[in-house]
Amino acid sequence: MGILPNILFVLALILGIGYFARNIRKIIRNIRLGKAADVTGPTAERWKNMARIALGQQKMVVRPVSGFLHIIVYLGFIIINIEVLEIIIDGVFGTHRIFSFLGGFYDFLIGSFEILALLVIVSVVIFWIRRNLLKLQRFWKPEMKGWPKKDADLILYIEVILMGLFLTMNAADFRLQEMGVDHYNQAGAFPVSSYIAGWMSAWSETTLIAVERVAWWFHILGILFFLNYLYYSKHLHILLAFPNTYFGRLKPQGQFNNLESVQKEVALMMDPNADPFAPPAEDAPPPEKFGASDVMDLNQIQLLNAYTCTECGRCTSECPANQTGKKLSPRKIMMDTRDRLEEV
Amino acid sequence: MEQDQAKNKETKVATMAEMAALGKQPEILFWVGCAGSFDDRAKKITKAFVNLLHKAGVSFAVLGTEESCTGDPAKRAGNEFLFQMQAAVNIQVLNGYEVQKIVTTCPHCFNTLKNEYPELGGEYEVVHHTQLLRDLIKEGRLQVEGGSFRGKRVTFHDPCYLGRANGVYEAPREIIRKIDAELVEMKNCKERGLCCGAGGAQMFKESEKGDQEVNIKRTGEAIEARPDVIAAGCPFCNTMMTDGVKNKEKEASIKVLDIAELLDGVADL
Repeated sequence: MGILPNILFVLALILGIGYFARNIRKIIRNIRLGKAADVTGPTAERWKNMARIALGQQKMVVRPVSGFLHIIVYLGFIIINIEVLEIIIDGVFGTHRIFSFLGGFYDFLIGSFEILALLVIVSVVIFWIRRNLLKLQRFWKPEMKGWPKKDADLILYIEVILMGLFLTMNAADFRLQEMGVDHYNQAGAFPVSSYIAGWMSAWSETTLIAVERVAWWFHILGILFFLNYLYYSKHLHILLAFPNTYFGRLKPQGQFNNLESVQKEVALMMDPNADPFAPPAEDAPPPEKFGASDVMDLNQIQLLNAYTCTECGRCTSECPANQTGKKLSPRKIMMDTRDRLEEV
Repeated sequence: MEQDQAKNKETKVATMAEMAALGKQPEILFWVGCAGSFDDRAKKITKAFVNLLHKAGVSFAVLGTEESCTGDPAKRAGNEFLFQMQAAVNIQVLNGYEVQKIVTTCPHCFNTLKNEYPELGGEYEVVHHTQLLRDLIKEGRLQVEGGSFRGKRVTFHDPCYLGRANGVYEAPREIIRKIDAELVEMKNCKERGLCCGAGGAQMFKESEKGDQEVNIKRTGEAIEARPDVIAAGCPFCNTMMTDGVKNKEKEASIKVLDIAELLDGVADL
């Protein structure tokens, strides 16, 4: 086959990652439209929050069922990334299962990826059922009509397809290893895909290689597609959750910011020596805009919040006003902020 | 405020002005707040708390007519200008008396004094009355042994500005355990406690159109815990829960009481 696939692969990789990087820069540019935010406070505590909430999934388990399923999908995402690294190296250099020199540890890795992949599929199916058959209320609020609903379902479908391709690829590979075909050296343990391989027992070597290659290519192209899909989707949260928790609020929830401009006015008003008719100094800057009427008046952390929102609706379903049938929905505020920010 | 208490002969409370005239400085200032001063139901909480302070031998004073609104409702309604004026006046008065420590029976006053005054030049140690009472019990200055609430089921409704806004969940619960009552929790409590319905100034207006009132929903959750007493730590929650209990026609079997009233009821025996 020569070197052509390698070149194609590198091209796809550069294209996929390059386009994604361009979009990330757009997000950063948009967030910079906001006012500077106060990010003082101990850095150590910020890292701790990130470790606990983003990495440790602390907030997810407040609702145990979806929390548990979310942890599985999240682990799948993190751990299967090691496999992606191998795929990239294989793709660039035309090798096959480059990490297989790890021996027993490699078997363990591939084995656990497979089990995770299966669990991810199961979780995603349950997610789909919760969303579309059980019709959990928080997924069917008015703001979820149209694209948000479609987006949520698409993410689930893509995840199933990616995991399915991963297992198909391994199954074909497993058969090829059993048949002792060249290039397909014995490596990895296949606790899940060996069952799928059972159905492939009658297939010829050429078919198997074709299946393995097609699954391999679609898997990595799918991942690159998914990476770029993030920018257009609520699924950005898998990346932005980390900075978002880092910049999270450290002060007590009840504490509002002090409005210094008003404080100054009041001090001036109460000062008996102040001259109420004094003209402003020549070089005084024009007064700052008061309040917020557009996204540019929000601060950068608030804009980051809007990009990070994954529209799960937990805030809205927890909101007392929303629970008692009033129109307020915190999620809708986040969604509208993001929509507006993408317009400007 | 002070005038109300003066009517009640037994509970004479000194004002900061009187104390200052005698050259004395009390251990702590009791910030009464609007509800505790003017609302008939909340005045009872004020009296119960004053009783307890007397019993514990705490030297304290109130500002009396010199106390004004902390500015919390104005700030949260978006009237920053009014808030700044009220805060500036209060801080001047408090700093004038060199106040170090403040206790208040209202979580809203508590939050504003504790979190929003420091930046404006008013730095005090601020505690909620449930925290102070808990400490008094711990130090042995307030004796509570058993009493009329022994074995009664008591559930505690977390006020937003005490619990979720400032993370104080345990102080009121420790007191409930101390009076030998059985502490029962509602389905939504502590970090996930539900609003009493007064939040966001809903106390003072009709709520927006919806299919239920928040306080009715919350009272429903409280009733599910089958309590004899719904304990509150905020005069506004108290009002909302009392209304809710009446709506459910349970006022004969369920009482709504402030933590201070619970404790005062026991200490009276």
